[in-house]
Amino acid sequence: MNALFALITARNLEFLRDKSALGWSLLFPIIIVIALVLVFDDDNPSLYQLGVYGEVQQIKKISALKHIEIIHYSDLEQAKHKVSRHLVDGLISNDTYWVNPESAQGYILEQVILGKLPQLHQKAITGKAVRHVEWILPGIIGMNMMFSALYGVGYVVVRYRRTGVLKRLQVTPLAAWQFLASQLISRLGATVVSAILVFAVIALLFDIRSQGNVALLVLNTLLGSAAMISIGLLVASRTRSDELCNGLLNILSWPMMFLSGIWFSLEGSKPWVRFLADCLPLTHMNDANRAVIIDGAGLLDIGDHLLFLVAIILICLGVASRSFRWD
Amino acid sequence: MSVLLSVRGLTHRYGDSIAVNNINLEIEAGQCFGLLGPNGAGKSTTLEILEGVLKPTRGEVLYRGLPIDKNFKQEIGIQFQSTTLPDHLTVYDCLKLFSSFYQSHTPLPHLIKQCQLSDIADQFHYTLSGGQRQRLLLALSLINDPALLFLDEPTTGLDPQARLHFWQLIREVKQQGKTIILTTHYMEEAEQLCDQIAIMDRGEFIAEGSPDSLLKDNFMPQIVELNGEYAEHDFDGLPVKISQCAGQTRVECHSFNDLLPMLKASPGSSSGMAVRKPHLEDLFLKLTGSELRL
Repeated sequence: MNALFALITARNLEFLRDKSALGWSLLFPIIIVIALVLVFDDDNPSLYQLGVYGEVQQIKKISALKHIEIIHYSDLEQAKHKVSRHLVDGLISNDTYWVNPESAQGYILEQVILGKLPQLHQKAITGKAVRHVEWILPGIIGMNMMFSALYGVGYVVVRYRRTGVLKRLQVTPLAAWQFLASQLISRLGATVVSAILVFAVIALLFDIRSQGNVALLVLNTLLGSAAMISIGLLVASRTRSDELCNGLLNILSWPMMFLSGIWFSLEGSKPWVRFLADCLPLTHMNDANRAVIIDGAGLLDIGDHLLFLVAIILICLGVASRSFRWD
Repeated sequence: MSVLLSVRGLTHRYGDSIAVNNINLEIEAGQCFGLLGPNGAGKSTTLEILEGVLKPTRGEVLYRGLPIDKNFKQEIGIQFQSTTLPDHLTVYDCLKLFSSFYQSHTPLPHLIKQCQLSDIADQFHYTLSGGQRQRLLLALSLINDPALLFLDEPTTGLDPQARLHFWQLIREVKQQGKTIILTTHYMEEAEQLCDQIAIMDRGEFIAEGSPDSLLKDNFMPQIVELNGEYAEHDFDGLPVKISQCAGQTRVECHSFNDLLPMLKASPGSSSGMAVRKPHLEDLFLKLTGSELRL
């Protein structure tokens, strides 16, 4: 019992004296709870989503109703596509409304539109609903890649530093950027190959076909994974403590878990939430992969997402190699 | 012989405390130079500065007469006191990995033979014994055929057989004309391997020279160790130097024969007596003291 007590005491002292780890263990849950409350604590969740194109007179007659979320679109074709794939329940412009006759939600929303704005003309849009598995698969794969990328390099580099592997490498002609690039490429291969395998198995099981070019999917997945690995390398570029590294990686991965559209779409969410989501590389990878798989998007359609990912890679790798600490 | 590495006015501070204080040093090519000193003397800091790992607060290190630059790493080999290698690599994998870091490297079969790694080349590095592991680390430090080799306490923790074997390896390396900078707590090791030594204490060199010349300068030719405590007047005005340590009297003299009359006159003094030549450990204790360093 003495040994047990001594070990518990020693571990407690170790934990309490590591101020950074202690700080994270206290701060992290508080930050997460506050963030979740701010982002998701909505007492009036919407039941229907209505797209609005252009200036619509008397829109207040509908927006004043409870449980209907209004989403403004500047691109009519994009909005109509959303209706066709049941991603939005209906769409109105100044003189027309569009619903998908195959959508149950759309049918109910149409009754509301007819009651409140009877002057609008109806136009039907047909199209198969996006299956839940089609929508969620890119998100799940993305989440898996995120954890593999962030923790796969973060922990390894910090362990290398703590145990002296990096000190031995430091006295060789190896440059910091070479070491970081080796970690990036090695982990990139592992994450992308596993993502392709998971996608292939799920696609076969559930008969999912990508509407767009598969090579584009691979390119986007490569860039997305590289962006998240680069973030992991940046976090680990100077950290010596496993626990601090864990805290930093948690603070990065949890927002991506909830805000990058893995489980649900953030379309129509508060502007600042959307802004926050747009700062996260996983959001861009997920959005681009969904656009290719579901909508058959081309290179130009997802170009802005790819550019964002490239920028993250360059910035994080650049800062990591400049500030890298071997010991 | 030409000077390979020289140090001028080297000083290093950690906050307010001075770890290395104004050291000057010249190491000639082909020499084995031993850096000795008690714990906390500043050896590790000095070594890290010489290796290019640490930047000194003041002073400069010149390699072949020029400040050390990025090419320095191509020409040196380092065996740290303890080194962790990446997990799940065999001995051969480790050698192959490290050889890839250099513009040119020693052919691996040659290195494996030289460091006697043939039988363990396919073993994972974490399964090696202490001696085998040190041979692997030596091989890694020799992989680029370095002109200058740093060995930081390379035999600490090895059994006597492994240590003797390792010394032989170092002698072979030395015969190839390589310059070696060695730190060790084993004075016998320094005596066996080093052409020149420097003893450090409190950040400064307190003695520098060849082991033989330092011993000659600091001791009389023979040391007689006697049980019990004796004073100089017990030796009838003989030219001796007396020191006490752990209940023993250490008598430095020109010849043991000079002491025979006194020993005969004092029965029991010769019990447990030892006669020997002075060695580096005597010098080390004489210069740095025998009290425990905290």
